[in-house]
Amino acid sequence: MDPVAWLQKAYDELVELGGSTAPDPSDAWRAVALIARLVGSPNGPVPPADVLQRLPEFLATAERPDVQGLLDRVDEGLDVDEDAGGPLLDGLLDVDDAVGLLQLNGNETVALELARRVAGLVALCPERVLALGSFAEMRLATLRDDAVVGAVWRAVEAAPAYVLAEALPAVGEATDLIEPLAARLTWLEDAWHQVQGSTGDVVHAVATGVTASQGPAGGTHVDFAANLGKPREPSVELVWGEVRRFDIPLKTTVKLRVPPACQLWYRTSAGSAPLTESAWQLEAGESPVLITVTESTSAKSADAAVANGARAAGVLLVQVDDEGSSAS
Amino acid sequence: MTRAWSVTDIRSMEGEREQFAHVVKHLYRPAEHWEQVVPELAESRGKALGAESPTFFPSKGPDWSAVPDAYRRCVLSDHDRLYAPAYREALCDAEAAGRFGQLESNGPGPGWAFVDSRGVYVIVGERKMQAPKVRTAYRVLPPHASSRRTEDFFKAAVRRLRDKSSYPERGS
Repeated sequence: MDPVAWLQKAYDELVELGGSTAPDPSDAWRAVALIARLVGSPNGPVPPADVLQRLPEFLATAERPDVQGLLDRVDEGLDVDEDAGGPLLDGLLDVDDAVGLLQLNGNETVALELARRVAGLVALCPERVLALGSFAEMRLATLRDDAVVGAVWRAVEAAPAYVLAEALPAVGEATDLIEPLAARLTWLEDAWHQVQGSTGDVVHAVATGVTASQGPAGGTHVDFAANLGKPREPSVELVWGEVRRFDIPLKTTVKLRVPPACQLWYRTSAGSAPLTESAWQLEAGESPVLITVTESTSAKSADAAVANGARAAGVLLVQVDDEGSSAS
Repeated sequence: MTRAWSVTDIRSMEGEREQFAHVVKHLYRPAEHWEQVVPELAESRGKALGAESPTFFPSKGPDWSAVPDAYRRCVLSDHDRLYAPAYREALCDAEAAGRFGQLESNGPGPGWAFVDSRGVYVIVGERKMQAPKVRTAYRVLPPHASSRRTEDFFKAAVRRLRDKSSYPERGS
């Protein structure tokens, strides 16, 4: 999600709410929350002056936050094994809104305490918030470094680090991890050489926020975010012209976030096609699977993209059994 | 944002365990006031209670493996009779109203969220080489427990739709 677009949506909605002559308590609450988002941003649009003038009216109309109720909502969301983007993320956004309202009302101490306690709850259940890492990253991009509510989103963003050490599958770094497979599989050898041949100026694609969590079917969910930007720690580097190998158990989902100007493709022994979901769950009989990223938006195939000079990088997914040895 | 499917292509929740969990967690959760969406719910709750429910509608839900068969059957029946029709209707209503958006990296996989005029929030997951499927359906709680009109749930749901998805699209 784009932080600029997210703030712009807040601005647009605030303008609509600002036109309301008699806001009810929930509208007033929302208006205050949106004002807090905008004034708390280092570089977003500022609230319209006429709406900002009505802040005292909105604060007087909005009900006071129920701090214990907010903590309960987050606690409940963390405890239930359900889509993290549902009630759990709602609960975190409720806290975000409440912190903004408390601060604008001059209750800095309560705001700080609420944010800290929610950050503490999140830290106790890092595996539950792994899927929210991208959202937290976006929200942090809309906040000043010293923002009180930043503690909540930093706790979400940092969650992968706690889980990573134990759950991250081995990452292949050496060419000899690919070679034995390529020697046996002609399609893989061809695709591998194609990726290797695509490199021009070496530009590093950096995979950040490598995360893992238990999926609904007991599989491991790996969030593997590739950005063509500044490297962050911890990071796993992808390099144009190289294929990195991941040895993963069945049912593991590998997800890639790539820049808009790139396309994803998958290739197995059964053939090759565009990968529209930016994710692959490894099923029985599929291994090995090569996911290719090409720096192109209009090619009809990975082959065509590379033939037209697009750079490419790859991720080779190899099934590993429960004992940790590769099945392919 | 475009979809290659329509709401009629969406599969309902699959698997009894998943259906059971969502009915207990959401349809039966008093704070979500599903009786505003499904008026028959009050009667059903009573039946489920009469079926020796182990605990009265705990927010986290009872353990699937520990509940009596009669209670489990009641809950699964409520999924098919009440919950699934309600969330499927919500999908149609939301699509017709253009009240949906793509979720971007804030769930277990690619997905879309839909909000109907009664404040039902449905998350639909896209799946590789399979029809999309309902991942969850719930009512977004308004900021305060004292707000429990249908309108309050609707506003809360639309606001979270804006916060968490591509809705509204630019220019719409």
